[in-house]
Amino acid sequence: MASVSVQNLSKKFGSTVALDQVSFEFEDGKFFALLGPSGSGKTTLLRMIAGFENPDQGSIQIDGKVVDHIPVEKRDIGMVFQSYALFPNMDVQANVGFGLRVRGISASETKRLVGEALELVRLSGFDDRRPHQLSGGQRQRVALARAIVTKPRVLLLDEPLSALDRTLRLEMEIELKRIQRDVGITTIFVTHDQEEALTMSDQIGILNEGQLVQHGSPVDIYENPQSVFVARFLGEANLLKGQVDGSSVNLEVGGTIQTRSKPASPLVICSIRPEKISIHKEKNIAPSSSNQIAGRVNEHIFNGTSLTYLVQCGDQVVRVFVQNLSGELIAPNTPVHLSFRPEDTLVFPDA
Amino acid sequence: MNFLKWTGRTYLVCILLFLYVPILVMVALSFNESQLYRLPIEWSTRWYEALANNSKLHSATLNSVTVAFLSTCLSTLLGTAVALAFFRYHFRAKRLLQILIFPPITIPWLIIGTAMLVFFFWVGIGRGLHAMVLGHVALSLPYVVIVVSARLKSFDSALEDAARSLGASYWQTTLWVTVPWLMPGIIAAALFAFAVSLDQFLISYFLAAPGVTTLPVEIYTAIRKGFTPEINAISTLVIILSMLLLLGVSRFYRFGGRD
Ligand SMILES: Nc1ncnc2c1ncn2[C@@H]1O[C@H](COP(=O)(O)OP(=O)(O)OP(=O)(O)O)[C@@H](O)[C@H]1O
Ligand SMILES: [Mg+2]
Repeated sequence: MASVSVQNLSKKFGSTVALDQVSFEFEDGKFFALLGPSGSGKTTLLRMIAGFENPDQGSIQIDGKVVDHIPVEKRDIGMVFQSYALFPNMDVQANVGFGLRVRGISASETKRLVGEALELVRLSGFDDRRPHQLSGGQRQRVALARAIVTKPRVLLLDEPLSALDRTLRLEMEIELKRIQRDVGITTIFVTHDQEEALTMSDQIGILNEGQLVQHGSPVDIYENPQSVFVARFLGEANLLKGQVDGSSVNLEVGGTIQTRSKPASPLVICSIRPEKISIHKEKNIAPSSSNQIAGRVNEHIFNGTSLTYLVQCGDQVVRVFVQNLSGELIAPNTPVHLSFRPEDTLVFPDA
Repeated sequence: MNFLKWTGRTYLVCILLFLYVPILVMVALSFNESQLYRLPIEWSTRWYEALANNSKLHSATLNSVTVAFLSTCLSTLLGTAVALAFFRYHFRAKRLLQILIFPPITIPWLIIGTAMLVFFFWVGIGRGLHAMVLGHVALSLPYVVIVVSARLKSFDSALEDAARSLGASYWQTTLWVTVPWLMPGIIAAALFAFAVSLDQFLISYFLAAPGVTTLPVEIYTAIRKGFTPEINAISTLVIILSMLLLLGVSRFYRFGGRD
């Protein structure tokens, strides 16, 4: 177990910039999720921490010690690969025990530790199976048991759940989090599923085109995104263009609103999360300090516990989530008023 | 549709006949009592009995098997290492080296044999079984590289990454993860190499020291001296052995298509 710190990592493959000056730090025992669209450099960063790739620039520290020149096999990391990479010629026992075998640990001790690890991932009794005799979820657990049985300092996971179907994935998310908490191991988890990142991690780092555009706690990033990209990538956001007029913004879809911070450029994009908007049939029902815009219901989607309204405001559709409190729906084509607080109205310069 | 199916089948039968009729004739004649190919065939095993007392053929067979065994071991080891190097490393001359591996398959053996003979004399290796072993290694190496590389194509290199992340050294990774996975390919390659060496005539002929020959060379010499059905008998035995080897190869190596 250890803290991890990464400074100014850069990497190019030919002319593609895979990583560009990435720096972050996080503490011992924490669960860190690396989130980003495809091709943003997540795998490259993870493989660099593992030692499979050499950075062109920058440095990596584990537990305060520079590991740049330590080869993979001496870095004391555990890794779970996207394809699981279980050894097909070995049974579960031998797969999980592999890391112990290369360390020269005795057969009886290996058996005991492998038994413990299999118990942790709830696969006791599967010792003699070959990888091809296991289901996807079981393979994933074997890969996890194999990675943690040597008690590595850092656990690295590259989209370990992406090959599973949704139900199994949700189940494995909970399992993985439980195991991580039980073992208390520092974990870096790559995903491009924002929900996974939000529910599982202590910290999230968001990568875009090789740059770490923001990192922080899930709540912090969700509530205080620092760019349109982050606002849109983590959770949903309604983006409304507007022009600055003094301290307020005139929206293209109509209406003048107040924003959380002072707009910094004449043309701006305002971002409002769908669940921070309330929808009314009458005007002026919201507190007068609220922002208000007018629209017309296009469609409603009933989800049971909640409702999603698609509201036409000018030439744009605004999504609104409301809790299903009354069981009453607002019918399509009804004129409505949307209100939201200035604190929930984020403003970004329009590039 | 039916017409196509029938032409297809006829074609297949013709090819099989073309390939196997001469061999079958030879096998049949090896059991014929008459030395002069008189028909009908009278069953006899006298040519096989004659083999038992032919000490020249015995030592030639032993030489053949020794050379085949040694050259197979060497070329399988070297060829597997070459295939692994091509798989793992990206270097500038790789493409060129990959191309240079194959000419021994396409250059006429006569030319290779002459070149080897000249070269071996020049560097002082000379002729003899040791020279034959070296020659056969050079001949079978491309086959080994091709067969092992084909198997490596479907190898998931994440397995090697996984082994290393678990603390395995380069050699532990190779011996415990990569080689076991490659094993069917390596065995097929070894059987190939064995067959190539066992059947090799020209190179062996060129590199044989006087009096120390391999089976194909001995058969050739015997034919020149005057043909006896004994040759049919020994050839039949060689064919059976070769077929068994090839059966072994096909067990481990898919020749294309699906099962
Ligand atoms: N070995 C390589 N050679 C050349 N380019 C590479 C190599 N590995 C990665 N890249 C490039 O670097 C960039 C980042 O790739 P990376 O695999 O880190 O993305 P990722 O965020 O993991 O994407 P995904 O979500 O699709 O797995 C991509 O543009 C990719 O094409
Ligand atoms: Mg990736």
